[in-house]
Amino acid sequence: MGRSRGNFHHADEDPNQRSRRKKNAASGENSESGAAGQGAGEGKKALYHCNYCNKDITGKIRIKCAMCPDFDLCIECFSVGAEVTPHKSNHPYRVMDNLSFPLICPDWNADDEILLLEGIEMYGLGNWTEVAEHVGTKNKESCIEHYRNVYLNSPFFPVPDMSHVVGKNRKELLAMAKGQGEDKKGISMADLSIKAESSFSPSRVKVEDSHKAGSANRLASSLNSESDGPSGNTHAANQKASNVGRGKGGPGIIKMEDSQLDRDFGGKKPTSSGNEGPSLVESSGYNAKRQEFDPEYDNDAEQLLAEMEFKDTDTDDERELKLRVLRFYAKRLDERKRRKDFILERNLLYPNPFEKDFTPEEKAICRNYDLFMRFHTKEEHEELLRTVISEHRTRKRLQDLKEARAAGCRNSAEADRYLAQKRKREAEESARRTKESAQGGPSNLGVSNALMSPDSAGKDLRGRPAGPATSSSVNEMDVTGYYGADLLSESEKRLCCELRLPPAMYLKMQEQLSLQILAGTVTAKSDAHQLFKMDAMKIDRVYDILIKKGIGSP
Amino acid sequence: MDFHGGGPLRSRSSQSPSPSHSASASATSSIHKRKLVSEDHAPPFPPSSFSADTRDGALTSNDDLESISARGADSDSDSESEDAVVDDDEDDYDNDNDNDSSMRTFTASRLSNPPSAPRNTKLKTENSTVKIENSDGAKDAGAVGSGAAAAAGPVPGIVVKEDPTKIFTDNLQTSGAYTAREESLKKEEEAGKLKFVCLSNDGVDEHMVWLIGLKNIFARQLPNMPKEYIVRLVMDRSHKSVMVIRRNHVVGGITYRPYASQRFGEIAFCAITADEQVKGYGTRLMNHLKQFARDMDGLTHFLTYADNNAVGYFIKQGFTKEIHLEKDRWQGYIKDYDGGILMECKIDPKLPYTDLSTMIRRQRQAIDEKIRELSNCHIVYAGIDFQKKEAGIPKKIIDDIPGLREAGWTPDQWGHSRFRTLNVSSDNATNQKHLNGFMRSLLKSMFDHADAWPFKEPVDARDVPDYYDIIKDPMDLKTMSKRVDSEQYYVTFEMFVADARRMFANARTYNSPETIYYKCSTRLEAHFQSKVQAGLQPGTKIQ
Repeated sequence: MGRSRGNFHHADEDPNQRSRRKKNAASGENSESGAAGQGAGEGKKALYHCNYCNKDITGKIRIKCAMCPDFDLCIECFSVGAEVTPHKSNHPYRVMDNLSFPLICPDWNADDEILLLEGIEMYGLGNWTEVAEHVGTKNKESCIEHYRNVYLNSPFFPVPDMSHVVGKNRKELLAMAKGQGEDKKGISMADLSIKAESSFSPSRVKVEDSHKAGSANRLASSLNSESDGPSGNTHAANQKASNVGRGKGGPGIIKMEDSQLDRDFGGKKPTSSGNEGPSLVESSGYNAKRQEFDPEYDNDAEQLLAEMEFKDTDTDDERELKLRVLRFYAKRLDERKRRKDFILERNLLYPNPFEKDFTPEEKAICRNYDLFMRFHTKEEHEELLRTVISEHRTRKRLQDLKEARAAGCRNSAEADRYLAQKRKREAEESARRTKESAQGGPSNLGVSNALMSPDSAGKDLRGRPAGPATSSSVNEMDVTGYYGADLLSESEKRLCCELRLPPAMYLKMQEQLSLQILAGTVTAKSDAHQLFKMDAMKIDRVYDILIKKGIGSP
Repeated sequence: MDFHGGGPLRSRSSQSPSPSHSASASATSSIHKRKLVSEDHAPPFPPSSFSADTRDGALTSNDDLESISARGADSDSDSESEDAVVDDDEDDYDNDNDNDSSMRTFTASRLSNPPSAPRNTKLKTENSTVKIENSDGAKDAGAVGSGAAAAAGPVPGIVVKEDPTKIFTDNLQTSGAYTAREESLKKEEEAGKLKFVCLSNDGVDEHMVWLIGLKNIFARQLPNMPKEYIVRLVMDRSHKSVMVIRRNHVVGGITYRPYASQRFGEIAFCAITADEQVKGYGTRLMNHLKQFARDMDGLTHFLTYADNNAVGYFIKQGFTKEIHLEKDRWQGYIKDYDGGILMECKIDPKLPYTDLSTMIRRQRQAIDEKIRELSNCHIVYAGIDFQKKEAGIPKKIIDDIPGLREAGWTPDQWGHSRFRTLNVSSDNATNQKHLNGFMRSLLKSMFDHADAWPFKEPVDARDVPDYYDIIKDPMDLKTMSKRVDSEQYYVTFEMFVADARRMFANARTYNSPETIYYKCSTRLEAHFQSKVQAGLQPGTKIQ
């Protein structure tokens, strides 16, 4: 069932034929003219040629040698006993009649079927380009579709379904094909049109896909960035990663480049407000779908095996040694996997919902306890963190209460009020400082507005505030919110505002002065100056109030 | 590169001596013979395999890569089962010698195939090999020359491709090359000489040793890739490797990573060791891979990034550059590279990938049986004894060839020819007379030509002892004249033209281009063609 494919396709070993092929190949003009000649003669590509005179015998009766592979002769050459090495004129032969009749479906003749299977035999299933070239009259898509429909999807797979052509002779098959061919003519034209369109579509779709892929990646990166936690978490995690890197002794040059590429790439990505630096996922080089880090833990483990080779000349000891190195590498793979599983199980690449409500200070404490994570289960570790944070909060409360008591509070309610006032005062001071620096100088009206503003609750408590001892400007202070303000009279309130004295302090001074005056140790204003480390003018004003009350003498 | 490679080869053939009628002809021919013998002893150059590194590059360079891929596909046609190395790393790998090495691969394969053949056959094979290489050189020159010539470029590749068919079909009359190789490898598997295994790094000593062997094959075929990276993928427990093992040695393999949830696999590396290439292992390996992936991993597709050198191999294995797998199934699982081409292969759910030859044979038998019902072409008739006279002319014309009438032949089909002389008649006998007259005038014209002197008589074996060892179908003007005079041999003009061409081709085959015989052949052929053209009807061209 071989075939000859013209001047270019002789399969003979003969140098004569090979040389002729070379000549034709070398001459473009000759090929062109030959093709033109064939085109003029027949409507399709010539498939069978006489191996002696190169005449086209496609569709005609020909003689096929039964001994030489793929050797065909026309009737005339055979009748005169033509010989071309290795063919002899007395070789047995077969008379190949015209197989141009459909065998299974109207579009495929018997010789097309033979050529299709022959091509698959020669070039392999899947190598459809070559198979289609071997068939000659069909293109690649037709071959694929025909093979799939007739052979693969046949109810008698892998053999085609020929039940509808059983008992038919050649003429009947031709008649059937003719009838079906007319019906299918329009359909085939439509198919051709669709095929023409589809030839353009894939490249266009490809371009769009690549563009869309880029956009999708960018969007995904943005989502990752937005889902990132506060910067403290990132900083701590980055520090941890750095520690791990340092422990490895540094990755290789290529891996370092990869890391740098990752970082540079991350730097270009958009980041959400409050987030500093790339997300933890990107900085660690983790690919969720592939479940791989880049670089991996113990990134140099592969160097052990990079040059390893088992040879036939290895002794048993050498072989055993190499196997031991392999097992050691397997252990390192185990450790790498254990650490990766740990990271994924504890979800360390993403913000911990357990710490969502923590203050930055508390989150820093949690980072300090991360190194104990490996010894605990997830629940145990969370319990530990809960305890530590609770202790931290208790200690903080104690500190606040001590401060409140030093300020003169007696019970819990007073302490709470005092602390609230203190926070408010600190907030107001902070706002005032900001405003003063903005305006370049104090302004009575502005300061009044600042004094009225409420305090911010989130501000941390700080140490005992220092009084404005050296302030030369007279600024009024609102004492309405202070503890003890309700005990003062209107004139006393105005005095405290002018002197910027907290009511508690004023009352204390008054008490001390009264006691000293009654004891007789203070008889004049100058004596009162030594009792307090305070501005003398302020003491004089307080002394004047006592004179008005009748306690002191001028 | 092929053209450049062809240059030295042509110069080698030009070193062969040119025979002459002088007394020194024998000596020079002996030198020629000894050279051929010595060439046989030279060891074949070890070819390097294709490299599949992807390269970084801008989008504009992708167009160049596309065209390079197309050219690579052409060069791949020189060897049907050239195996490729594929990976998805970023490293650049430059393989300028690829076409040349693949040509040497083909040459080595041809030389090593008939080792026990007789000396004459070996000499012929050697000569054929040289011609093949020259043909490829010409092909490359044609491709460089012009677009029209480039269109003709792939054709010589096909010519070369036919030759392995002949080697294999000597033993398997009705089988194609692909099926023959698959069948022989399958028999080796059944005999236990060959083993295909699919495994990952599972801690078993033997498996780890094999994987190290496979790692070394990849490392040798990809010199520019860091070995640590190859180790990481081959020894990774998420990756699997299908390996060819012969006598407990790894010959080649494919490392891939199955994504069970997505039901596709990503091919990372693919290579056959250098001295075992072009024997069908790559195809067999890919078939086993598809079978393993489908039956064990439940995969429906394979994806891989291929660089220019690997595209040809993957196309032969059924991979396409169009991706039909849904994007969400593979996006993000495969590393993106700018320089490579993503290729896809769909795994058929029913095909018996490791036994395709049996399936194809059954299909052919079914078709053959159907045709046998409708045709007599399967009947083999005994050979006819033509009782040749001198010049190959038969003693009598066979009027009734057995089997011809049963095939539907009628006498009016006799003498069909594409050529028409200027005097056309409806009478066959008159046409034959005109044809004979035309051929006689052509012969006389050639005899009278100044360059016809080497062709007037058959070559004398005493003057050129090795001529008939190389030229198996000699032809000369005297023989053609006898055939014309017999008025029986040249039934069609095509037969006459074929003999003339054979005569010219013989001269160019045996003699190198700078010899006087080669030049006479070229000039006389040009003269012959112009005479023929003048005698035929306008529009008819010699093919």
